Amino acid sequence: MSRVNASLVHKRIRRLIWLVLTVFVLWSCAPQNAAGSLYYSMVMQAHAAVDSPPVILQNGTAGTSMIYTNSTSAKVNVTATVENYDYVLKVVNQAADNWTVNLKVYDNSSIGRLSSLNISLHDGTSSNQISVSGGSIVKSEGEPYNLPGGAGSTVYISISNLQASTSGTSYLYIYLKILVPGTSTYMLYIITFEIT
Amino acid sequence: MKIRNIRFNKSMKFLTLLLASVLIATANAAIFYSMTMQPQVMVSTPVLKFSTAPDEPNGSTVEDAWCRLTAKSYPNATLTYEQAVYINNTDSDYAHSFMLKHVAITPANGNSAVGNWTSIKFLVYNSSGYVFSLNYTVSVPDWILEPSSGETNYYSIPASEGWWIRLETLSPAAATTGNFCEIQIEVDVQE
Repeated sequence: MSRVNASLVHKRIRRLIWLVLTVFVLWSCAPQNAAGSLYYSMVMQAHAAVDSPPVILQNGTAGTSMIYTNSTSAKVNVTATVENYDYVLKVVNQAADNWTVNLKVYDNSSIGRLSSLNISLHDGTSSNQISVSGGSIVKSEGEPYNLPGGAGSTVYISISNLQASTSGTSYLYIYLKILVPGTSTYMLYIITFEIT
Repeated sequence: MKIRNIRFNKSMKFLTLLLASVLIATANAAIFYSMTMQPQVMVSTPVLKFSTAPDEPNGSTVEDAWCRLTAKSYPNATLTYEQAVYINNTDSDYAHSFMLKHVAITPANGNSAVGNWTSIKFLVYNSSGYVFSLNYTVSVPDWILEPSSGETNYYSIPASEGWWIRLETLSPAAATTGNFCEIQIEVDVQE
């Protein structure tokens, strides 16, 4: 009796398997859902032309300065045996536009030996931009200073109160930021100060 | 031996049913009919669109779905247009995603004129800061794309929010004035 029951159960299971298989085959042949997305493309074109710099750097009368190709970067060398250098670089406008300029430290090395140092912009009035005191940068960025429009208009960069506690070579890596007034469009020129 | 004498067990019957089902399903696919589609195409403003920004370079043109930025590049000086163009989500209810995709650039790879640039970067910002970018840097005489696929991921602008593109250009010290490059980028928007 139990054998007959077992046989019936097996038959039912087989039928169920065949039924499931049939349904699966039919389902897989059914049309699939189409999944899509709606999108569109906008076009942005950029035209970038190499142009002459509207503001250039020129050598100063104090310390030693090197102006690199196209006058948009420079290296200044001064020694800590002299306290004041007026002036180490000139920032000269080549265009009719007004600009505001300021200095900002972006890197440094071996400045622990510098007891004091100020780097300023001036043209009549003076604006202290960078300060080092006791081997640390105490002012890393200066306020915007006006560079008037017109070819030849100039702002000067000078160093004052330079003192070192030990011998060695220190570096200050500085951006000269030249800003179109009333906007946030600006150029960054790299100036390296080497202090021996 | 007559066919009627062949024994069909249950398994054979199910197999026959299965094959018949497949046949029906296959035949079903061959039956077709025509429906009528009448699309109505209406000109409308895109939900995400360009609009002018405070640092748009002089001489640029900005329209809803197209813009041309005429930037400059100075030798050995990084020129930054902090807010060159806005991408605004005009949908007040839903966020929408977009990506930047490189399409074309001239001078092309292999041209020595590529050496007049160090990098041209398109950086996307929102009010919280940097989000993503599509950058072109130079390894003379080729452009190197970042990301290398030339496509960014999709990023979602919340409803009624405006993001902007910061454009940065940099040329090497010995770049020659008068050289120019043209870049075309697609901004793909998911509606």
